[in-house]
This record gives sequence, C-alpha cells and structure tokens, in this order.
Amino acid sequence: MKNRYKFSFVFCCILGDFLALVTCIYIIMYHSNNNYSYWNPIVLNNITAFSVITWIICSLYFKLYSIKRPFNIEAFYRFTWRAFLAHFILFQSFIFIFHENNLNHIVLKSNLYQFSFWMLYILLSRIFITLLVLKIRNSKNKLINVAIWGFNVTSIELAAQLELAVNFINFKGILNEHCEKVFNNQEDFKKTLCEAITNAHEQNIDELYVVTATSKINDLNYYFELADKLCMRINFVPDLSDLSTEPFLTTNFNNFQVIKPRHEPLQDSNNRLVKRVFDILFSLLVIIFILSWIYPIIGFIIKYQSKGPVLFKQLRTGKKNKSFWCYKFRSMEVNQNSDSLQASQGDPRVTPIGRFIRRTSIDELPQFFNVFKGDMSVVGPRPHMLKHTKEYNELIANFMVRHYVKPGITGLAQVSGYRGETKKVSDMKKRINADIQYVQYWNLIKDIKICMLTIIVTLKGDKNAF
Amino acid sequence: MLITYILGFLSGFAIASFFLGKELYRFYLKNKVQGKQIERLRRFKNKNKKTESQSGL
Repeated sequence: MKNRYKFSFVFCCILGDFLALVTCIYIIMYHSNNNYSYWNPIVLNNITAFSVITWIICSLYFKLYSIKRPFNIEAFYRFTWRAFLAHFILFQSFIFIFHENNLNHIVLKSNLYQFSFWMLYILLSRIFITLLVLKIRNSKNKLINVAIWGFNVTSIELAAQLELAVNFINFKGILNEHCEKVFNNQEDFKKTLCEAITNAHEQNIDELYVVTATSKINDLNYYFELADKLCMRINFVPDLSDLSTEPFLTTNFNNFQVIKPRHEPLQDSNNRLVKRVFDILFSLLVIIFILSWIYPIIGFIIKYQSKGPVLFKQLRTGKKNKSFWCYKFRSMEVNQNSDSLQASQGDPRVTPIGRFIRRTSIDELPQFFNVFKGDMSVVGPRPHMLKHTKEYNELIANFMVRHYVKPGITGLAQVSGYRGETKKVSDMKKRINADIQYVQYWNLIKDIKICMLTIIVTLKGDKNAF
Repeated sequence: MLITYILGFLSGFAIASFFLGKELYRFYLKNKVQGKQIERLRRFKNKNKKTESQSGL
C-alpha cells in the first residue's frame, strides 16, 4: 500500500526536520560567534555533524520515516517523541562530555534557545502534519481503494487495523458485511467469491483482501488469475480464529507460515544488543558512583550487627531456566532456611540494618555485579529461588515464559505493586501476567520508564517491602 | 533575563501541548475504530446465532 502521496509526505517530513535541526545548530553558532572563547573548539567544530548523525541514527532506530508499514499518525507522534528524547540525551551528553564548563551562562543560554526552537518546531510541525493528513484523509482523490471480502473475526480485526491506517488509502470496508448468505459447499463459495472479485473490480477497488478459512478454498491460483485478468491486486488472509481461543502471532519464515503463541521483541538480536549496552552502562555507573562508597559502609554495619559474610549469595533461576548465583547484601542472621523460606512481615531472622536495607531496597544493589557479568539485566522479571520455580511451574501453566528473558533487578510487576511475599497462587499469577506482558512488549523506553518508576516507588515506600 | 523565562515557558508549553494532543488524538482514534469494531463483532455474533437457529443446532 504505497503511493506517491505517502512518499511526498514522508520526504517533506524528513526535509522539515533536517532544516529545523540545522537551524538549531545555527542558533548555537550565532550565540557562540560573539562569545567564542566560552565554547570548547571540539564541541563547536563537530556539533553539526554530531547532531545530524545522531538524528539519523535515532530516526532510523525508531523507524520514524518508515514507508514500509501503513502510515498511522498516532505511531508517528510516538516515534517522534522517542527519536527526539534519544537525540536530546545524546546531544546533551556530547556537550557535557566535551565541554569543560557546562554551567557557563552562554552555553546554557544558547542551549535553551535551540531547545525552545526545536520544541516549538516539533509541536507546530506535528499540528501542521495532522491537519495535512486529515485533509488528505477526507480527500476523494486517493490513489488506492482497499476493501475486504469475508466476514469473520479475523476480517473484523484486519478492518480495525486498516481503519487506523486510512490516511493514504481509501478503505471501503468489508464488502459482504451485510450479506446473510451461508455457503453449503466449495462450489457455492467459489461462485460467490468470483462474483465478489468482479464486483470489486467494477467498484474500482485496487487491492482486495479475501479473508476466509483455508478449508473453503480448493484452488487459490484460480482467484489469482481472475484478479490478474481484471488488473486488481488480491491478497488472501487465512482465517485461523478457529485454531485457538487465545490470541496468537502469525509470521513467516522463508515463505513458510509460522504460528507463535506471542510476540517477543527480545528474540531480535538488535534489541538484545541494545538492552545489553544499556545494562553495561547502567551497571557501570551504579558500581562506580554508588556501590563504591555504599558497599564499605553497609558492609561494616552488617559485620558489626551479626556474624557472617557481607554478601548473601543464593542460586536463583535465570534465563532459559539456568541457575546462577544472585548477590545481595545480607539482611538476615545466617540460617538454614534461607533457600526455602521467603521473608515475611516481622521475620525474626531479619537484622536491624537488614530491615532498613530491605525497606529501601538497598539490599538489591550488589545485583548490579550480576548485571555487569551478564547473568541479569537491570529490568526484567525478578529471579525466584529454585524451589519456588519448581513449585510454581507445576501450579501455573505459563510460569516459565518469564524465563525467556534475563531476570532483572526491577521489573514491570514490581512497579505495578506485585512485589514481596506471595501468600496465594493468585498473587503469583498477577506477577506472572505482568512479567509476560513485559516479555511481549519490551522496548528500551519501557525499560527507562520502569527504572524511573522504581525510584519513585522506592522513595514513596512500598508496603510489600519488608 | 525575561527572555529566558519566556523561552522556558514556551518550551514547557510546547512539550505539554504535544503530549496532550498526542493522547487526545489517540483516544479519539481508538474510540472511533473500536466503536466500529464492536458494532461489526455484534453483527457477526447475531449472524452466527441466526445461522445456528436456522440449521436447528
């Protein structure tokens, strides 16, 4: 579903954004001309190249200008925001790293000028784009007429997807939506579908989606030939809604249809690489700037209050059900039940410093060593004790799905309020559902959001943390 | 100094408006599309019921 409206539109967006970006650099240059001595020459000489290259990388990574998929204005806004945020972080980091005096008022002022201009441009350009898209949407001269034939659950879902993407196509709806006809045999179906294809051609449909159960079709090529004769594109979408009551995902591998139970973004090696880079950078920063001074202090108090090691290590279930040693600050007296019994409210095994570090989640900080080693991730489903993994796997059908990714220090379940002791299986089910949701809808922005929410939840204090 | 405050206000206004507009548009679109989807699902269910009653199931 590509047309020249869409190409021109995307090209204008690219051009507009780049012109605005160059204007931002010009604003910085304009302010630096009078006060050149305040700017580091490395920053000033490379700022244009850096800004443009990072914008290209961000827009490519977030697929801001993708013309392959159907254009959806809501997704365009979302990707604009993501690309803008990523570019902003990279650009400010560049100035922060290479400029000696970041708080200099000339630097701050020119930075504020360009930021204000860039923000205003984003707002006004996106309002303009919305108005333009609405005008194109209401125009009758769209180049491509698209319709669906077949009335079933799959075609209704497909219609909803096409309704969202109607900006550059003219979606005519489901052609036989009001038809009450029931097909008794394949011949009957064949005759009706041939009539539908001819009628669609007469209605100037350029692309027809035929959504039907595969059992109703005996010769697919016959319909392809018929549509080719009429110079109309025809696409068959198999209606697989009878296969399962649960939602599933269909993809293809070298022309083979593959049905999967769910979408997993972290199966993509690019996404895994991005997550790993984020994990390494994040854990390094925490180890250098926080653990370097907090470790000796906490370690001294732990040693002072009870006998035993500073760190408590325990075998926990990791990715692909492989166990690993998980590190924590020791918050309990050394006891025999640590590998089998979860901590409960008012647990007598917890030491005074243990109570504090558990409530503030400081006890989890050594897990950044696990993240650096690669056993864990900053964000992911919390790792459970081996005994609990075995027990819950028997009680909850989809329990092991959470082990398709690396376990994390914090996770979606933890910031959604499902942390701490699980007294009932239903509590664990809620946690598992949140974990599966994370596995299915992972993205880097979501990880950053969870990290920020974790800080807020920790500062507010969680009643489940004890 | 005043220009700094004005620019700060404008940036904040632009960010807030962008997010508000984005969320409102998303709500408007989802509401419209889901309304149509629900109507179609209702019609499909009615059609199935009618077919079942006609075939005596």
